[in-house]
Amino acid sequence: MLRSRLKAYLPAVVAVATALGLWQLLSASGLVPGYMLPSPAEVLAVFPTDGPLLLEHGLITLQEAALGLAAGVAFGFAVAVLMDAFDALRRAIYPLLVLSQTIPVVAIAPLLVLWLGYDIMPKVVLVALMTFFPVAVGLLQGFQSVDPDEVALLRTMGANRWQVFRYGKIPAALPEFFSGLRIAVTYAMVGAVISEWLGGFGGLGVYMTRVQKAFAFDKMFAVIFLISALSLLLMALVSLIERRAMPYRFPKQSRTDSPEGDRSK
Amino acid sequence: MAQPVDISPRNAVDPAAPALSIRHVSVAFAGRTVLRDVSLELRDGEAAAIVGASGGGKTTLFNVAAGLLRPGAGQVLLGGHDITGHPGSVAYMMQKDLLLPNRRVMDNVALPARLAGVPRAEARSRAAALLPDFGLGDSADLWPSQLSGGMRQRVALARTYLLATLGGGGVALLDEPFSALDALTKAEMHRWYLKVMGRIRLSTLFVTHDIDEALLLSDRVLVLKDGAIAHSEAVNRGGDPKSADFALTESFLAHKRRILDALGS
Repeated sequence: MLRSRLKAYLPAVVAVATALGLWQLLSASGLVPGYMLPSPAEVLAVFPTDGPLLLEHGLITLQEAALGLAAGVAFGFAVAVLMDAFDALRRAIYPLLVLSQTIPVVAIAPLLVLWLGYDIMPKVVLVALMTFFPVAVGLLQGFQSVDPDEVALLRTMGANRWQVFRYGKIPAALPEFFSGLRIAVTYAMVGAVISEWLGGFGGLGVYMTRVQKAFAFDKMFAVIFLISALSLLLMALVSLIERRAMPYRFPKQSRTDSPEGDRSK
Repeated sequence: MAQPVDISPRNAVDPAAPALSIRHVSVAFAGRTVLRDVSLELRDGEAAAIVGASGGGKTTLFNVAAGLLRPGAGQVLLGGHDITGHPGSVAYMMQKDLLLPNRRVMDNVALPARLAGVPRAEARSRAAALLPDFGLGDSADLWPSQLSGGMRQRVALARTYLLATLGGGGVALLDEPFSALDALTKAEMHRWYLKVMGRIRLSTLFVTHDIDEALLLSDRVLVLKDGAIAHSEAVNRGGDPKSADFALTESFLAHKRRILDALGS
């Protein structure tokens, strides 16, 4: 199983390695000045020296992203439940939600800084604003994707509204929820970094603006690498939780190959 | 493990009184009459089949009988109690098996008991006591995605049976319970069904478009035509009441001819 999974990832690994190799060649050829586009090797060389600093700033960014994501998921869940339960509310709120997504993040981030100061608060709020949308939309679609016959069946079993929700709608919404959450975690990292650019005392965004002012291209690329790596890590974490939450979608052994299995009785 | 559980109806039903009465039920959708003045009585322990063309109102009749749909006129009585428009007391197995994908076989069967507020351990032990009768003794811990079509139908049937006996009514509605199966599996399921019905006590009303199946599995065949009951055929099996050889006899053909006449005229 592990082997087949490694095999599945092989093309992607080869593609990334090829891209890095070409980049390294490009830098070595001297076509692009080294100070503007450092080679991958030079970027990686930043980590041993600036590692502790990057770790410190990375943890701040991660904390903001995590808090904002938690708030965004909670808010998104509440909005989705309300919109699913009340049809009129869904029709009233949905256009507003879509509208809220047309506002550029970089435009509200400075406002949030002015309103909420340079501490963690504006970052958390911005991340929450960015992440609640994919979660709310995913959940709402998931809730509404429940088979109406399944709802009818639960009702013939005497299920009340809450039980229909718990036994029918929540399980139906889980796949969509996790798709939304995967998008939301990447938004969370980006949102935290953007809001740090616009004012703050720590975090990868702050580190980025500092090294930018020093024209330290290698360090700027190092932060980009780090942000990508952290986002990938968070997405992998979501996939892991997804598998834990829906073991029935990934059964260990299947009996469907042998329909005769239990028919003897 | 699970202790044996009494699976007979909890409250004794007066054998003289009908288990389920449908009285003068009429339903119209957008001005089109779907059911007109349908009355039928299902006696305790009886198996009655309803045959008719698709679109003839069979599923609507079941939705009324299950309490999911309130008819324009008429009443549904279960053991003498008016349950018109109140789901939760008549068990209803829909055409699709509608197993909850996120619950193992045992928990799918136990679902009606859980919804009725029976504690998890007790609900499970009730379900566990049923599984061997339904040929699912070894399958308690499987996910629905791991089951063959025939096994899924048996899980759905076990769940329906648990619901039917939970409230004491002992009435189950089965909508085309075997129509999704291939011909061989279907024949096998018929034999198994007759065997299990000889062991458990359940009053069943089932819908089918297959006249052979109706004659094979029931004591009485009702012909539903243009939203009304056009014919009622009491099935006389002769010697062995539950023998599959019945399909090869003269009297089977005579029954079938009369039903076809009623459907055609």
